[in-house]
Amino acid sequence: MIWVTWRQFRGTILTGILTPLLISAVMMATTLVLDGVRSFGTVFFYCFGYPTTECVAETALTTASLATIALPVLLGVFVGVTVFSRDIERRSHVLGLTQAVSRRRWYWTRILVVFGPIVLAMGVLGLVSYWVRFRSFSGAYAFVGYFDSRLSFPLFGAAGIAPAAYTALGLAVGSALALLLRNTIGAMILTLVAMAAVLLVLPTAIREHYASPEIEKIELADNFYGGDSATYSSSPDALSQRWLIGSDYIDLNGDPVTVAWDTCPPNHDSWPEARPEETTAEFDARVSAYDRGVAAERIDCLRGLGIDHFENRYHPDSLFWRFQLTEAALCLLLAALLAGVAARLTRRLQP
Amino acid sequence: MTDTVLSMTDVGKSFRRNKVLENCTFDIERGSVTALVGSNGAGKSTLMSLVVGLLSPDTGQISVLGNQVGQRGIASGLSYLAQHKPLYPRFTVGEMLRFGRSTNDHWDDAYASELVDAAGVSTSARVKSLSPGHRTRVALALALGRRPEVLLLDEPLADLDPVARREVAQTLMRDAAEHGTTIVMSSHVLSELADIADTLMLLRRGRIQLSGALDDITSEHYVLIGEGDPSQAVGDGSVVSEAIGSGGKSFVVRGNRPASAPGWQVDNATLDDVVLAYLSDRSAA
Amino acid sequence: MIAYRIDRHSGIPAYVQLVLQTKQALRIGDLVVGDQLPTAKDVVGALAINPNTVLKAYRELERDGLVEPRPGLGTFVIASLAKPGMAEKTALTNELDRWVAHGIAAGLDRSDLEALIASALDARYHDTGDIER
Repeated sequence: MIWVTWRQFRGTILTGILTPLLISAVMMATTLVLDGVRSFGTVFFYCFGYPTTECVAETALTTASLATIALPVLLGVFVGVTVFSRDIERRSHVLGLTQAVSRRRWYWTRILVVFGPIVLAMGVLGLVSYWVRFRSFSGAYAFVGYFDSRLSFPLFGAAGIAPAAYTALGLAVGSALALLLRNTIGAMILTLVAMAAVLLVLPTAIREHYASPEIEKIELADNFYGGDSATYSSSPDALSQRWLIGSDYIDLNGDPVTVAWDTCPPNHDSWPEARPEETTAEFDARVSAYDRGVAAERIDCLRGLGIDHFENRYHPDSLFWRFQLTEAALCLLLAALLAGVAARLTRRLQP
Repeated sequence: MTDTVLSMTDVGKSFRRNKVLENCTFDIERGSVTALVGSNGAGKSTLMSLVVGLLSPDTGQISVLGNQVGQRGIASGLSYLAQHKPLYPRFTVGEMLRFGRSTNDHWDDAYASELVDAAGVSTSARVKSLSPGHRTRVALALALGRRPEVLLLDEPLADLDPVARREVAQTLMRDAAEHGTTIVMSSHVLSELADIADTLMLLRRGRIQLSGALDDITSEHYVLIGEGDPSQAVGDGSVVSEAIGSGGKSFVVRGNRPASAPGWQVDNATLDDVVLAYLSDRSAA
Repeated sequence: MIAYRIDRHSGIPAYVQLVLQTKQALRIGDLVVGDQLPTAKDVVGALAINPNTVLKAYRELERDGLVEPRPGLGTFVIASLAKPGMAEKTALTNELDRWVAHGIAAGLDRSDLEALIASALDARYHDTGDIER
């Protein structure tokens, strides 16, 4: 039965294995160019058009990362669905089911022989992607902003064991829908929609709950310029080491308070101008005094609204692998459930 | 002493609200060649799918070679050739045989290869390049390679040219003669069935209307040709149906031949006569 | 060797056709004592008919005493239907003629001669059973 499954799907299996491996190779090639190069510090789109080798490599890496994110969906649609739908549409499943092989064995052999290697290849891709990007923070920052955390979309899904887990889920969804609907195009469309929904919902609504967030309390001190600037006042390196999931003004009772952006006076337009007879030191001193004055106004205003402090909620970057494992476990559990459902659906297969 | 290899007891099957099969009960004896006839949509394919385990009956029981049919897959000792002769188009014939070897415990590779050879099909030919006749013979080789005790064939002769039909029939009869295989085949081609089959099963509107030895059935019926009302001549027989022929009306009657039937021509009933009589719309059955 | 053919439109059952063709072959001398009849497999392989048809025909021939099945080997011809040739007929006729002349010379009339012939035939056919029916 293993040979039969291989022979029937060798094109599919090879494509499903070679595509991630090819992308891995491209990613490895980019490290040869980018290795040791300081991070750009620029956002992705600014890199386009620059003829430097580093930029070409960055672009390649970006494309590869995009592909890594898209692959689980594509594989679900074009492999997960077709593995069963081709047989069913041609009605050749009748042949497979009238030999001395039980339906269960027919189904599970197909899943393991076709999906197994593909998920493993995606695992390789994910690990290569991780190694290329993150083994040191002087690695490439392409494709995302300088400030994005690798716990959030899209970095999280493009590296580690997440791509493999998403692929397993995509394949399970595709095959279950193919057996349920027995209509190839319909199953493909639904798989696309379902996987897109999953990849959307996971980072926006679910991932942040894998652990309780760390809370950074920012007091309304002299140098408080407003929530956003307080957040970004930490050192740049520290920023990408945390995934900010929320920030609020907090009142004395500990409840969040919504403050409209123009409620407390924003920075005035009347920035002190340098006077010609001033020395730089004098000018700097005047600017500092001005800033402190504005800050004091703001703090009074906020305190007047009952606000006690500003709070950042985040997950530290060190949780990356823990989150990877949690999300992978979630996806694999779901995939296993769907595979079980699909196995039962084979009982209902009509000739 | 009867050796029943396949039996159905009160089997019914519906799809949505259509009753496709109802109260089907029959026994098939070892070594017999049964012709399953019925109009399109009468339930022949459904009946076979039930025996093979591809569908589950709503009511009733089916047993093959002493074991009840369940969802565990096709009974060992049973082989099935579906109407669309399923094969894998991109496989070569040799790979199809290897498929048979890999998916079956008791596989007679020599026999299957010999059948493919005898058909003049090369093992390196791709399945999708085969003519319908060759395709049928390869699919048949696959079914026979399992060395079944019972062979079910759904319209095996359909879409075949006369030469291919002959060759398939010869292959089947050879297998029956050599291995004593019990054969159940559905077909529309009555003339070939008459030579091959010794048992008839007729399905009409999901029910089995006739079932038994072919010779017995044809001798139980006769044809009355003439004009007028046949009820006088028929005696205690029953008219199955009437048809308009070249010499007047002809009635197929079930019963003892009348000693004298003035004004009527009495003929033996052929298989064609009987089957057409029962399947026609104007059938009284 | 014998090659069977079935005429599907003759109205004669297939097995009867096989029996008749076998007997014809025995008469002509295409089949002689000791010859093996084709196996059921070979016959149905050529004619595409039900194997039971062949078996039925062979059983009928066996009942007629013409053939005999030998398990594991096949079905073999054990009797011939060949009629005597012309030469033999002439010799027999002459012999019969002389016998009749002897009988007349001994004083027997026609009915006596007929009675003698009848009882001789009775004795012969009674002993060996009805070979030719």
